[in-house]
Amino acid sequence: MRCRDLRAKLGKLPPRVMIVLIILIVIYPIFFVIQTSFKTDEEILSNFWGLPQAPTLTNYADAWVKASIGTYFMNSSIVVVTSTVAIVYVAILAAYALARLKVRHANLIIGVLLFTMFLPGEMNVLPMSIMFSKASLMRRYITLILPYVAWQLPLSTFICYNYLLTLPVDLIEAARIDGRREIGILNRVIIPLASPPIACVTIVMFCILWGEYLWAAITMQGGGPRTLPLGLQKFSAYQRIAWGPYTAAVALVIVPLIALFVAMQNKFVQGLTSGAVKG
Amino acid sequence: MRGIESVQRRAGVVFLLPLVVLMLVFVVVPELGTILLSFSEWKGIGAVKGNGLKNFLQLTRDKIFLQALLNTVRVGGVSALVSLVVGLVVAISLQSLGALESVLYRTVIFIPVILPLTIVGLLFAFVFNLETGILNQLLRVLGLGSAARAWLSEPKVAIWSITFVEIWKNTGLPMLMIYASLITIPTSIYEAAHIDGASRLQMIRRISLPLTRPVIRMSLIYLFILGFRTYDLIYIMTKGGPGRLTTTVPVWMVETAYNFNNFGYAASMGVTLAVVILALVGVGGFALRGESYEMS
Repeated sequence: MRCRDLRAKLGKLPPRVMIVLIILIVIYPIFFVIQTSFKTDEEILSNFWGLPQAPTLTNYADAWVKASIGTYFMNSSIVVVTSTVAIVYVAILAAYALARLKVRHANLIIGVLLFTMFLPGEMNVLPMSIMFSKASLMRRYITLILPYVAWQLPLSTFICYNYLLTLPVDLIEAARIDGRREIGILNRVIIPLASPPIACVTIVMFCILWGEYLWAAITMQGGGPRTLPLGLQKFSAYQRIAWGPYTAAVALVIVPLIALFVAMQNKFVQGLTSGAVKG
Repeated sequence: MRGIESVQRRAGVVFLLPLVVLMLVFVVVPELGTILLSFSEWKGIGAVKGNGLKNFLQLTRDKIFLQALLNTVRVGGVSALVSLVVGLVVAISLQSLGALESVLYRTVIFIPVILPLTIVGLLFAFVFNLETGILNQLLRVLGLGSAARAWLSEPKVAIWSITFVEIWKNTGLPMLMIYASLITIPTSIYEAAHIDGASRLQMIRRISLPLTRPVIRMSLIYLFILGFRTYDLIYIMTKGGPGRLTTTVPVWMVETAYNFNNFGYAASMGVTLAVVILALVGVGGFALRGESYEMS
């Protein structure tokens, strides 16, 4: 009873109405794009607000084949999946060393990582593009993957580090007494326990890397594995827009991401907040 | 004991090696390169010539740069503050809702955070479109057709449209972080305050806010980091137009480098922006400083 009382007292301050309004503002554009992607051009004009009367997949076919979104999608998948796997492993290796292996100057290294997070990423791009073109490394998968991995390491390592600090030391000590080597402890003990930060880093990296535009645009000029943002640019705001295929292309990117997030969200939230809560 | 520690330490150094090498080659060296370039003149070919502070002096007279800097700070600063306040208010009100309802709302409000910026740009190019955009259509339906406008190409309006998109995208982050911190506050504290006759506003001011201050501070810092990364969004939505009115420092910097081959000058813009961001992060962190309360 008292608990309910308390709830009533804490609640309703900004009424539920406000939250529902925010939810509508958040979800409606997404819902609208998905709904429109199933309409023909005529129906978009004649039935702007309603649900599609005769849902069609032609927009998806057009986007996938005519606008070659399929090819861009494959290129992006290869780049994003490879980079994310590499990021997760390198980050957790480093985080384990920093959090639990008594490495010298661990705090200094964490500090440098945090510092680089504040610097605008565009700063890297100028000298990097010069480096890569001097080394004739333009227009390849590796051109995208290596920098993506390196640029995302500070944030990923930081998320893993915060979580590993919360793991009890006893577990590691027990594995050491069993005579496991450190790499074995990492692979068999730490990684299975670290699913929250791994889920968190995976989702964050998918989101950042699917959308990375600038570096891909500079290094993939005139060929190479052109990624999704470059393909989507074709639909950009300045040309006359075919909304059907446009919305289909957008839906193709956001629906899998939302599904991934909803499926992994419990772990994700744990991974994201384990460090944040402590501030 | 010492032996075990040195074995661990050696393993640790090996484990750190991939991170250190990648960071040195792809982050530290390029950053230093940018700093070096910012004090030189280089047109993309030939030798790099040092020219002291010339680039930075030129920046102070570069109208486009000054406008771009103002835009960057406006988009980043305003969106960070609004996102923080809205996120905080939502987090506090979620606390009083049932578990299921709260999970549902949290999940939905967080979704934009996980969408790539380029995609969000395309999404809102659709929302803000003059003829067929949802927003203008909605205004017409509501009989407010006169308020319909070219959200992305009208001077004075375009920059706020972009700021709105940043807020839309980022608000979920402070909301979730603050919420996660709020639920660690023991109910007994609120109960005690309740018995003492505290009002709900007092409870929020005297209990919720002080106890979550470290997280509020951390979210503000994250929001600054997110809000200043404007290149992808602006490039997709407006390409810096109309005119130069939505150009931000990254957009102008990339143009200066790759369209005008003025690499040294572009680098000095990057360095200036970095200094401004670090200063703002410092100010934000300082404004929300204060002792943190340990809870167990």
